[in-house]
Amino acid sequence: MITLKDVVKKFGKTIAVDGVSFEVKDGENVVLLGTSGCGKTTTLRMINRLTELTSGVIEFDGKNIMTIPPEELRRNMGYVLQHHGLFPHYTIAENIAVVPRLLKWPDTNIKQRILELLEQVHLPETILALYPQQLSGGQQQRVGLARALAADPPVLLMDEPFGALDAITRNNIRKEFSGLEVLKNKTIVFVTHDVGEAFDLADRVLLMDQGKIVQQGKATELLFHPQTGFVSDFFSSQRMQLELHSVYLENILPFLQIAKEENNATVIDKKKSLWEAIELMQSDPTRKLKVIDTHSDEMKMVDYSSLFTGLEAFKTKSP
Amino acid sequence: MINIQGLFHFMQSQSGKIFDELLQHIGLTFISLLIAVIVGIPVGILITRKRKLAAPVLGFTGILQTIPSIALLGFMIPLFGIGAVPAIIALFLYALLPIVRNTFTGITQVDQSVVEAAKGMGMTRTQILNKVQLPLAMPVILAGIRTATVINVGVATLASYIGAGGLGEFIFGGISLNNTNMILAGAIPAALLALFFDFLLSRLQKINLRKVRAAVWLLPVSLVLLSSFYLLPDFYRSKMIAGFTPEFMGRIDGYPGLKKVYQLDIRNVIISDAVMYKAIYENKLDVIDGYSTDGRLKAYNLQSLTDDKHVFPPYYAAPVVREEVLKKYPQLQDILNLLAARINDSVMTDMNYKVDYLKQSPQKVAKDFLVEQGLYKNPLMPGEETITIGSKIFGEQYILIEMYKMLIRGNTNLKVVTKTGLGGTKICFDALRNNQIDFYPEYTGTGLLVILQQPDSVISELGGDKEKIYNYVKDEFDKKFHLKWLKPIGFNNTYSLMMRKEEAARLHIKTISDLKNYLRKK
Repeated sequence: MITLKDVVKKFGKTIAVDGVSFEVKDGENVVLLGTSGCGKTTTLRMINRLTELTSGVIEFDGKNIMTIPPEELRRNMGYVLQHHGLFPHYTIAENIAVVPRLLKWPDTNIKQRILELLEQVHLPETILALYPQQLSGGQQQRVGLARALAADPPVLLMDEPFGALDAITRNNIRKEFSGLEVLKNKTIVFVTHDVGEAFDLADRVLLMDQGKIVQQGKATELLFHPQTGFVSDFFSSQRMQLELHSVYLENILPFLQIAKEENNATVIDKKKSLWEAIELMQSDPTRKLKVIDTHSDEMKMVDYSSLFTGLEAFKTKSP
Repeated sequence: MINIQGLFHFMQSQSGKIFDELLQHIGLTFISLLIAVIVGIPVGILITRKRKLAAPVLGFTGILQTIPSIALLGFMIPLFGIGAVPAIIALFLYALLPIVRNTFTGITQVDQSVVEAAKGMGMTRTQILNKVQLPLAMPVILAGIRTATVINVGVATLASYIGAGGLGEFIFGGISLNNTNMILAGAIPAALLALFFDFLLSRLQKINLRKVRAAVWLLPVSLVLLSSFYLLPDFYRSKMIAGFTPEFMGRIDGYPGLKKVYQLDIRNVIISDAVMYKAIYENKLDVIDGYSTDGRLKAYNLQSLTDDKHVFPPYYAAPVVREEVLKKYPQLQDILNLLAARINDSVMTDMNYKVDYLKQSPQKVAKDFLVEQGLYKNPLMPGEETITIGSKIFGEQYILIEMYKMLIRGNTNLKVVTKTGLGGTKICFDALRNNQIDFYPEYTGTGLLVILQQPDSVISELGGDKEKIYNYVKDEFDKKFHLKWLKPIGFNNTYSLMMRKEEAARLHIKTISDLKNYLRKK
């Protein structure tokens, strides 16, 4: 769907993006991850030509984007910004209708589409006549998403869409977004500096530093097999939490002891993450859990110490 | 000082003219404002896109704003002549800065993330401008237009100096004539006008963002409508056009006198003395008022019309001195009287011609005359004491006070300071009464009619007799103000109406009665 080949962007003498190449497949969610100033936002903005590239090629649907008029290109790519960028002088309904109006849809279609979108992003109809400043931050962000989705573009570009929200709202809305049905078959390029977001949303993570892609792959690959010191440092502050989130009980089953029959501990699904296992353990009086190994059809037992031993063993063993 | 009843009476009697001038004033203000909006907003938009231009453009319009309005109007005369065109251009230049600056500020202050979002959604530059930037900048732009409107209502009062009409005609006429009612008849409507438009625009500014679209249409429509007011009074006006100084317009021995005695009714504009000769020479005016000793009569080939019904009283010039000054420096009286009866009409006209037209300095002309008369002496060492001489703002007075200066410096140890260009009679006279000057040359007719403001009965009793008027004025000034009239200098600088020589000949107009008869014929 989107291909970048050796893309470079210079602002004067500073090189913001230095030879970036990657491909985003149809329906794939790619997260550009990195610290501020690493070039991730610039890379995103070059895709819809808000920033013009200095050299290299970007293709959209097999066509060089430089051959497509920028306005037409942008109408095919929904764009969600950190500061929602809603028009303060437009009502919510008018805000959502901006792109359909640019495309000169008939009024009845626009109305219908607005109602559809409200449902999809879980907003009540009552807000339609309000102005953006009358909504909460989370609601504004959802309207921003609805607006980006209005003309059903195949691609969605999201530039730190939750960056301006407080931590609690951010977590809630992120969870909700990752579950939204409308986003399931969209091709999404998502920019963030928040590692948790990358783990939750990405099919593939591209970690950037100083204008270059340092490593790309599944989030767990980056976590467990960092190719450079930069990559492992990047995750270090949240490493334990990330590991517990991204390793599942089934991964450590081989390293667990068989449970004794008389044990009356709670049984947990092996598809659960270690993090969830710990949360459950804390509420169980025995501080132990049982899990069924479907391979050997044995009941295995897990407690704090076996869980962490298992995690260490998994890490050293896995390729 | 302010007599409310008198004011009402004056405004009532002048209501037709006040209404005309009010319409013209609104017209002048809004034609220039309209042009400033048409030019200023696009320029403001342009400099948001080409940022390098922003500083020079804003700087340039800022400099325009700092030029004193009267000077800017002055600059316009050699370029565009007199009348509405130069006035509108000057007002337009004044209105430009607030409009350009506020358009620029308004657009640049629009939240960048909103503009980015608009761009990201695939809006074109024009769509972003029309749907996002301009609506969001509109309150700021309207504030700029509001500022420009108030400035223009104020500056437009000065437009009357170059014959563009407006409420300034009353204000400057009133200042020249020492007529408070007349000043107020112009100043009050002008102030109310400014307040009224300021209020209207403040309402417009507060309109909810939602309704901005309506406001955007309302504004240009009302601007065009108001601009057209300027043309209205012209629909019912006649063939010849006269340019009169504010002073002449209001004085009993000026236009009102002509109206009364001759039944002369001519379409007229008020214009500054400085430009009216050029204007009549260039056929922009047909009749002007002037002084019989004016050098420009000769320079511009003008014909003075005979005052066959004796409306213009004699105007013999003499120095008017404060009593205390004469007591303190008794030698002064004889020195000032050295000029008594020395200068007749033709000599004065000739000297005025040298100054006004040949551009010789008043000092040179004054010295040449004194030398020729054997009155000139080299200046003595000045002491500590100072004499301050004032003059009205025209060449003849400049020459006279130069002569007085040379005489005082040559015969005494007094220092002399001259305050030239004290505007009209009122300003000179007030300066004298407030001890800001020690003496200035005044004319008997002016003293009688403008300063003493005697009733018609007194004036007709004096019957235009030169001696009687001089003695009457002399006694009254002494009694009322403790000011002394010294001996007359000799010439009679009375008012006169003037036309171009060839036009007067073509139309067979020699007297003011001829002029009236010609205008009556239609």
